[in-house]
Amino acid sequence: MAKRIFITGIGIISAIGKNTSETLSNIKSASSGVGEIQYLQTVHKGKLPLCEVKYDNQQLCALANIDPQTRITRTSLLGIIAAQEAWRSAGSPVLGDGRTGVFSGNTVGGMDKTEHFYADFMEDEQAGDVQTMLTHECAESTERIADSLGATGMVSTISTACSSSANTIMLGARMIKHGLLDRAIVGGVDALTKFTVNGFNVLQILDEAYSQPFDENRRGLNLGEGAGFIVLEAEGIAKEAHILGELVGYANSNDAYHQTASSPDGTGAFLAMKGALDVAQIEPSQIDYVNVHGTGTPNNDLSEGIAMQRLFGKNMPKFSSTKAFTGHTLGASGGVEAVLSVLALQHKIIYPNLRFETPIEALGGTMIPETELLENQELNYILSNSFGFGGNTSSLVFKAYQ
Amino acid sequence: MEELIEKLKVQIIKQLNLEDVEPDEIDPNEMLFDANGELGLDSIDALELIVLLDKEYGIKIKNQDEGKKIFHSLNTMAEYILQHQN
Amino acid sequence: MKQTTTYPCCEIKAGTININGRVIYENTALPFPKFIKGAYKEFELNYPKFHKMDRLCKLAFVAAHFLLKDGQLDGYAPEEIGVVMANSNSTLHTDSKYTDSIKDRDNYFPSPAVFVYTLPNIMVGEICIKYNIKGESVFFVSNQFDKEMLLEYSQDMLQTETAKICLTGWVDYTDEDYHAILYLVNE
Repeated sequence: MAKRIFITGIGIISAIGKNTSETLSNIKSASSGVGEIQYLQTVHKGKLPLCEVKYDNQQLCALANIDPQTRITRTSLLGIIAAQEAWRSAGSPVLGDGRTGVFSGNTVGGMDKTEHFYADFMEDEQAGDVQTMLTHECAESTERIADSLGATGMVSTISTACSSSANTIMLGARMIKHGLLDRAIVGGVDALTKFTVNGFNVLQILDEAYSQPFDENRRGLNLGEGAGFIVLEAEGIAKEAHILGELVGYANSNDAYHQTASSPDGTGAFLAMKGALDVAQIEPSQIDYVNVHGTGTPNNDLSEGIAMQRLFGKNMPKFSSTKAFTGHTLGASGGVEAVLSVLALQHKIIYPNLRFETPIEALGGTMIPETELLENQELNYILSNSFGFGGNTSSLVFKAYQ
Repeated sequence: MEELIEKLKVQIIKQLNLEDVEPDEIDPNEMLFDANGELGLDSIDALELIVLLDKEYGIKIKNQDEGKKIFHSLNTMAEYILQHQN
Repeated sequence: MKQTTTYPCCEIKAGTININGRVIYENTALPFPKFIKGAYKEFELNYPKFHKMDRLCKLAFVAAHFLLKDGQLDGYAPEEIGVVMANSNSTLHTDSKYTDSIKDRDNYFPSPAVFVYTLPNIMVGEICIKYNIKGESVFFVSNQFDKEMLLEYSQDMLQTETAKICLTGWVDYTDEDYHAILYLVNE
């Protein structure tokens, strides 16, 4: 009999707070993290809004308890802060026996440092700190996170665009299920960089105003940054007092339609959601809330909506996109939204989809997300979607602990 | 106009990496973004054409819907350039 | 573990393409772009979108072609086919090409078609689009080619019925070197 997988710790940092309690209080007061660019040095300052973590790297070092002279990327700092919080909330278990995995999803790695180095280096080959380049690759931040936790088990990095961290959660769950690990600290991190902002801008999928996911008049997404990690523990290892919820379903599929666009029939999204329900052995009608991918781009929200209509038919569960709060944190989004899903189960709340006004006509005008914070909700199962470029679509199912 | 269209053909082939396409094979009246068309262009190509207009002609197009009309065919594209070039 | 030698395998490196250990194409004198285009022409791949891909995708695409060209996926539903890939340098070549296009304020023309290829799983996506693969896929970034890990991961996907067949392997590209080795992992 396969082992059950419990969530015993959560940690998060994003534009709406440096930990879970700040995050929760900002959500409760409907304070979005989107705003004018303050930290990133870019030509888009004053033109494009972003969801920045409201600390510079020096301040992040202080939060992470790291000497500010250390050669470390913003990506690693954000990851360490969230992973440490998750680990502490799980009761600070000792991770040195090789039975804990650390899996992180990431897309830009140390690009923030590289950008600075590159500019200097192109001017003068002797300029800049060449050692910076050692922090460039995606896997470096995962190693840093694992080191900061003293974890000696398997460490791995998954890079599948915006579904990266949902896929690390799947990987951790499977390895625990098969008895290969007792515990896994899973999730992801991405920092904002010029590279990302310019790239998404040139794809013309950024909103110059504040994004409106699932709205008829949505114009695009707001980019965000942050990290979200959860601690998964096997049945028998997890201590009753720390159990926050259970991970019961997960699936990944490929939309096989276009490099960056979602298919008109939402095939990938449908297969991922259906697959996750199958693993959880539940019916669509048992889902109480969907934390949608809901980026706010015309293409994603339509395609995801169609997939949800295919899956749920007329019995559409409550749903909302929390990206109106956090922005799209790319490789971190699956981890950030996993933390939010667990918080929702814990506090029996459903999040508002900020700035929603008008339902999408092409979806029959009936798909209306929750617009107010709902409290005292009977939440048993939550479905969380994360879809990435390359057609990579993943869904997770979280269950309240009973 | 004729001259501009010929120039555009070459620029489009280069910008969109249409390696197996010869300039003569692009009909100025035919739809550039025809799902069943010879060129097989997609939404990323449309964005590349926006970059092309900016880079080669100094014309900035803000949104993709506008782009759809301009990039209907080589003719519409050339007309737009003639109207908007400084 | 099943003997890995029994899985169909295509390897591309140092100007040679070999299938199951047999060299089928060789042109060691050419730089990568000419070499891979030569192979594309020689074997009549006939896929115009190939020319739009970045070098990493081209490498993967040609390697996948030799494993899948004879209808090896016929009889499988799209969602029964998985893809498991990894490399070390992610999309470094394209990342720097893209960075070049945004570094100069006076010559600022970032290309969407280049940016798209700054994610390694676009390579997985391109293969999925070409062969209509809709099953599970994953992309790992790791230090070196860990054949055992990738094959075990794929075999586990088969055992747990997550997939019935899996395209698995390593595709890495830098200006200095390239290496693709793909397996078709089946029962």
